[in-house]
Amino acid sequence: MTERLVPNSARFPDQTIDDETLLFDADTGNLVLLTGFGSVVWTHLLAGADAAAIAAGVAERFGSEAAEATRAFIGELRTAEMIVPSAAPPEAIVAVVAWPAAFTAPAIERYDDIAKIIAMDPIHDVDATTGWPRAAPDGEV
Amino acid sequence: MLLALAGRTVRVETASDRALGAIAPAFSHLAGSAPGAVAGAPIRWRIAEEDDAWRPEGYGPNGAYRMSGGGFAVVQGEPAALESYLPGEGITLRAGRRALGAGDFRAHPGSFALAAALSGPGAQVLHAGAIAHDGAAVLLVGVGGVGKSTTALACALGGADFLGDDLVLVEAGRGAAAPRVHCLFATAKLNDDSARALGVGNWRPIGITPKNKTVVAVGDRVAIRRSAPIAAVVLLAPPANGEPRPERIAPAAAMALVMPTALPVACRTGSPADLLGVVADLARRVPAFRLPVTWDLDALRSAVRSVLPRGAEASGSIARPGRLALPDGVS
Repeated sequence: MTERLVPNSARFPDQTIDDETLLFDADTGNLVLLTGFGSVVWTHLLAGADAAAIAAGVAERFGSEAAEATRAFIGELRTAEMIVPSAAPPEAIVAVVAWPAAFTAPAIERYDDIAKIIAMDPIHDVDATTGWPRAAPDGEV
Repeated sequence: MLLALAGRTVRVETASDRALGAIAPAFSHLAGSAPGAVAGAPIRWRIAEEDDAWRPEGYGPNGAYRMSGGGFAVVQGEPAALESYLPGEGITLRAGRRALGAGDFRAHPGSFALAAALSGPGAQVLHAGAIAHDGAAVLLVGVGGVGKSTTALACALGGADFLGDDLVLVEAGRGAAAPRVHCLFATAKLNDDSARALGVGNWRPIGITPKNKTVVAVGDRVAIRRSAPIAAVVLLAPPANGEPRPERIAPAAAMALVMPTALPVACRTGSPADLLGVVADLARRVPAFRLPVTWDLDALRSAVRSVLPRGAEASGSIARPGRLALPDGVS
């Protein structure tokens, strides 16, 4: 049984406009743009489609080279943790997403300007249960 | 003191005339508001003036603190200040006298805490300026130093309404309604060359920022508009040769370009997912243009004006003239 991969939406909120998907990496501050068929793949993943089924659908419509590029792209998404394994059972009904008429190579573009700014002036996350803001005990910081 | 700000009431509580005087210029456009007409529970904003020896020690190192559930604080050591927002408790500002007089504070009092209080899934404070013609707003976006303040004031001095030069609240569209921009601060921060080019070098400064920008109050100088529907987004770019011509850009590109300018604020005060949602709504609904800036301010005004569709809907609300009720001797 192959692992089921789903978008890591908690870390990477996303928005898609005009066949391009923008994700924000909440951990690093990087912006990630999925272009070409990347946005199509992402939309299918969001709709609940299985990664292997997406690659098979690409192979059927656009040929083996396109399928290979799609598999490599899904591998990149996995490596970057934009998609993660899910233990939850798959949805019984997967939303139908239309396929475009032509295949354009999927790509990932990363923008780290904001990550650099945030790294220079980091944000400290605080546990809600500690009753913040409050003076730290004994001058501890 | 009650302020009506972007559809919410902010109740300022302070025993300090100095604190009241420090925030008054930035909120002059909110004077004369009618709190009874504003929906939602008031946001309580307590300001405590500390003496010069006070330090926010014991709260951790300088920087931004974000708490799950929406709490937020900024600790600043020099000049000393502690600004926080906790849902249910509101905004608290503790500041020494020097912090109350600092340029960044005079320009945008409580900006981070206000952003935390006002932002959410449907609204975000963006690092942007805005002006309006005939009630239709143009959002001015760009990296720091590109010319947002100069462009906003150039347009306002040429007859447009001013909605902000650096930080504004953008509300996502609802149904058929366009996204809206709300003016937060009636101030502008200008470099010397901009002040000279705009002919405002004689305006009395109310502060100087750490980047040596002069802070001026604009409430008595130009027309302030409290809010307006956004009819266009202009992404300001470095100067180019020739006349500045707005160039239409695709919605996805607009979303990618607006996000980096807005994130430094949003990351500290709210959810990036909320910001992404508001920016995407803006990009989907409003045309965006890239515009190289120029020192030819007439050409710049014309170029900004040209992106507005003719007959754009005029449904904004104009700030009523008036002044905040200040104690005697406070200006």
